Amino acid sequence: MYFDSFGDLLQMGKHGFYVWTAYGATGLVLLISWLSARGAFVKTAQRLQQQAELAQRGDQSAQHRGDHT
Amino acid sequence: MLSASFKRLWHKLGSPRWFFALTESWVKVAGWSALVLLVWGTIWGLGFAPADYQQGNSFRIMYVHVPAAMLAQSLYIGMGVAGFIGLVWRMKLTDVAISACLPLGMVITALALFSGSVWGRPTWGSWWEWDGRTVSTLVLFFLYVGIYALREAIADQELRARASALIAMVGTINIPIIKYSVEWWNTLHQPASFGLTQKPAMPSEMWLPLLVMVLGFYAFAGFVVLVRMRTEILNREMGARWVRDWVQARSER
Repeated sequence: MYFDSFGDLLQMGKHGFYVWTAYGATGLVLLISWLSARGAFVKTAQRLQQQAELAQRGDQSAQHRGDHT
Repeated sequence: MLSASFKRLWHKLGSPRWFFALTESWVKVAGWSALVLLVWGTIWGLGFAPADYQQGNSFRIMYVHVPAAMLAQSLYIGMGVAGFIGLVWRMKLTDVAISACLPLGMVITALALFSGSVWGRPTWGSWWEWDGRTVSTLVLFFLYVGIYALREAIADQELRARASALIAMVGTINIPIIKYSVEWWNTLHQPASFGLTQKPAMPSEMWLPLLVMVLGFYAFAGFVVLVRMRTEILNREMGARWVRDWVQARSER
């Protein structure tokens, strides 16, 4: 490692605050982008599945009614 | 013969169904590559690359600032190209691509501005400079915000697609301005750290981590854009037979 200790790594000479702020912001932006993209996909897939199940149940009950009348 | 098969491929590429099937594996590859490259590059850049002899450790901000700024422009170019193709060939998929690039492009441009500001403070002595490259990047950010607002405001899908394609296309004028701003105007901004043709002006133990980070950012963008495109395709093609089949297959997995 370039730094002698973990404390040095955190401090980065006098620039620790700036460096860690920039990396923190980057981590946050990437994390939020990942979560929101992934979340939207999963939500859409789940909604489509629910719709499919509802439609299937609707079909079945219609068929059921059909059998008895 | 060649042109016929190229034409077929071109039309296939425009088909949401084909694209959706094709990209299923791409998403995984892009996502895992992004994770590995970003973790690797961050550890390397933060902990192992040597400090700059002039800037000290603040130069480590380069490893997030430069990839963010590159990506901010690339995503916009991607939108411009998609807009052009959409307007000329009327492909459905291009508007899906624009809608997928937009949110990431916006936050990545904001990140480029923010990380630049945080780098500017210890290096130039101020948080903000009205410098050519900073201002043209701010314009890029406003272009993203503008297209985003426009898309929110127009309900008609066809009109929304054409309007955003047009602005995306016209706005690409700003990209060469960002690129050459450091040469056209007197500036504090340092010139490109990186080029395809010239040798980097720094030692390899400094630019190799940058290369890893740039690749990581692009893989990440690939992942996010593909996932967003796939989501949008599902939403738009909801009633299609192949979507129902896909949902069915997914529930059985």
